[in-house]
Amino acid sequence: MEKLSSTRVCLLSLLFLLVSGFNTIQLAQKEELEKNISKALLKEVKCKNIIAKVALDAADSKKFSNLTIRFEEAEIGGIKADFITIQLKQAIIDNQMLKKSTKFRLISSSERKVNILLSAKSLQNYLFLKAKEFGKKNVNIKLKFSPPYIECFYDVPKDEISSESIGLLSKFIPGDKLEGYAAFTFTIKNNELSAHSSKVILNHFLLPAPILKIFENRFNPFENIPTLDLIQYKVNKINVQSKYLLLSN
Amino acid sequence: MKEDSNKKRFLKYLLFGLIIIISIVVIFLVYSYSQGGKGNYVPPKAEELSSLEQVKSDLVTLSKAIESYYAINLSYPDSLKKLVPDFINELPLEQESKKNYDYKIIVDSVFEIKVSDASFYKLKELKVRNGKIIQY
Repeated sequence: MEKLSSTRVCLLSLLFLLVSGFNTIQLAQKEELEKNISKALLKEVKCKNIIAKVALDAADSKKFSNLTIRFEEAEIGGIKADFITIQLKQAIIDNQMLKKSTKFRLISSSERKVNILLSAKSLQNYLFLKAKEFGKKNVNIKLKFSPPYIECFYDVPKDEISSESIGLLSKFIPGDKLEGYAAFTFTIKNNELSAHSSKVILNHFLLPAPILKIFENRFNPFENIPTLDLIQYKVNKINVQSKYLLLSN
Repeated sequence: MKEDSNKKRFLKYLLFGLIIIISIVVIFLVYSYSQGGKGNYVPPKAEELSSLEQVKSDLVTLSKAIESYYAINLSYPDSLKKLVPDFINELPLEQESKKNYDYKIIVDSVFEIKVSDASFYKLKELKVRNGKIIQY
């Protein structure tokens, strides 16, 4: 009887060792895979850091039930996004390519969810770079997120504004600069960003709605949100939060 | 003689019309100027919503804030309090019951926020699951 129970204990211990050993190997494989994906993506996307997280599919070893990739301070077009997080479901990647040449290639996925977070600082930097690109000087713009609005405090020399805009605003520009405040809401469709002004104050004058409408019709959509080359997506939702602007598909 | 009086009448109407137009422009400019001081550098007031619309708006706002939290931390928050102040200025209370919204993580990639008692809104269930409003 005693012999039988000791054999049983031995067998159970052996089984436990086998299972825990298998789990450890799987965990190590998963960690290595995550590291390789991050390394491969870092070669192709200009950013500060990349974290990849995989959940292996129990039924199919070639498939990930979930693959999440977070890019930190990633550059898309001229914008430095604070974070870009992509969640892929039922993802299949080219494992051979990843192992042999440390290159990431997505073969397929059933669902992709993309969230891009932009802070007021990164948007301000982007506007500053845009102004510089067009040779505009002394353009001072400060942004503040006040959901659902983005507030903009501006101070721009008159010479830096296009002549057609000056024509529309001439009555409100007695001096040599445009200074004031604006509250905007944004909409996005297929990566094309449009601004809608809810309130604009220019040199102490509250601009009337018909003038704002003319600007909206003339300049919208004013920007195209670029995408990462590796994973294509269309941004169709925008949400202003206290510290971030959330763009999602 | 008659021509002269017609001309005078025309000029009188013209002057009257001009005075009205100038008055409107002056009133508009005075109003526009009075609304443009630095004290008015504030966003417009949000329009008032019905209780049900407000709850739905709160649920969507909270849901978006959770998505942003996930995008940074790669996990869902264990409490809605974690969303303040980075994603939301303050946690909204339910319109009718003035209670906090119920939040739970169902599985790793599914979260749900709901009102404590949907009957306040003449419904059996009112919740948001992974960004989608569910009401019946």
